[in-house]
Amino acid sequence: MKQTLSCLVNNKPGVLEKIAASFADIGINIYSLAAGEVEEEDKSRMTIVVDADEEAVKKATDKLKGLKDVIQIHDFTNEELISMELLLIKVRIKAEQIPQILQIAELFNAQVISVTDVSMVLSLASGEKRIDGMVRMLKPMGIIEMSRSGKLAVCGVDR
Amino acid sequence: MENISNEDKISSKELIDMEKTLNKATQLPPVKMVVVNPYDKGTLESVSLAYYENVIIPILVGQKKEIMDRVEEFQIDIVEDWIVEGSDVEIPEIAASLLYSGEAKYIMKGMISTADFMHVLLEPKWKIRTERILSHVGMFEMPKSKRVFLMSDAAINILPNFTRKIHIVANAVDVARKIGLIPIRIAMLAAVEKVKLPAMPATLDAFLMKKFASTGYFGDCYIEGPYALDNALDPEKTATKGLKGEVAGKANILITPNIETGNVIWKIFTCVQKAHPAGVVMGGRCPIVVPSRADDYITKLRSIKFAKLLIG
Repeated sequence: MKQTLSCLVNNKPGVLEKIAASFADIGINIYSLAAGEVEEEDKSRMTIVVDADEEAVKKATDKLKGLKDVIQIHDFTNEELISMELLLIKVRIKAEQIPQILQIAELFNAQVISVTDVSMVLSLASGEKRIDGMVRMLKPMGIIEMSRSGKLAVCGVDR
Repeated sequence: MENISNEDKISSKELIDMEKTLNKATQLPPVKMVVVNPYDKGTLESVSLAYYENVIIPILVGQKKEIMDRVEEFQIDIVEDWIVEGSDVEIPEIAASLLYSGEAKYIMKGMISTADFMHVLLEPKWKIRTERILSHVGMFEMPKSKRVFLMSDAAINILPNFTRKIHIVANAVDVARKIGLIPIRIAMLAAVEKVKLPAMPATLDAFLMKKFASTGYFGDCYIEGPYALDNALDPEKTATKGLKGEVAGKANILITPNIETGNVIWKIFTCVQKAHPAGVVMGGRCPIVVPSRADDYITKLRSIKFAKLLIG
């Protein structure tokens, strides 16, 4: 089962490595990890998605809480979550497929951000399922390259 | 547009005369055209002239008293027998049914809003729709050079996506072939000549339309873009900018990115230049004449002739 954790950490070298090691020690594979600055410049928020059962995640959470640079950790699994990820996808352009590619982009509200004679780059900021959907639909057109940011999340409940 | 001094770059064989082209409609046998709510001077005058120039046999659907009052007021030569009486609610339906039955070959809008007119006309039971979307095609003549070009879409499609633009191009190409505008040189209009994303999505559609045309979907024609208006029409400015191609400066079809652009170009010709373009809605089972209520009788008469040339 996929579970989402949010860690507020000090923005220092080596913190990411320690967090990754905490999961690895328990045998949890990190499905996606997105990190970036928050409202305070010396801190970062990491949104981590793992595929593991609740017990394993609790163990990892406890371990993370013991780390000096982890300020706050939050398990979003049972909470209202506002989340999104960013997809950049480069597809091959074949003349006869142009209308279909643009229709798919329109359907998902994706933006074409770059175009050349042979390829087009689309961006989509959306939920995981919609991103999966667009990737599936674009696959037959010929995906040259793609990159996903991993999930970014904030808590939808005011504490 | 007026300073085109380098017209010799376009072969004289390619140039057609707007008046002569439209007047071909007078040489064909007259056909029945149904007119909805012909209560304004421009519509009545244009219909009367079209009849006497052997273009149409009018069927005027509306309130007889209202029509005859206007005919008397404006002193226009209209025959009472042309009128099919109907109440306000019934009028568009009666007109559509005349088209559906084959009694009339095409249709024109008078004093009725385009939305109300099209709403009735496009009801599935009248079978006006085809696999194509409807789009407006305008025919223009540059006042000094007399060069003729088509433009789409100034009236129907507000912000067409790529798929709709394919239909818009296809409808315009059909018109060009029917009036003998050969070779067909289509410019996809935008504000600049390079793709600018994400700020100018019209430039993307223009770029991709050129690529899509390589499938052969539109038949024999040249498509280029994105082009600003001057790069599409003015060989001199095109040369200054170093643009090369089969369309740059020589376009005879302009595809606008949205209705605002098309409408502004149309109104510049009618309001600023006091010129008289012709316009018709294509993509349906027959041409549909949808003039602006403010268009004068010459523009309306030209549109009636233009549409007749496009029947069948």
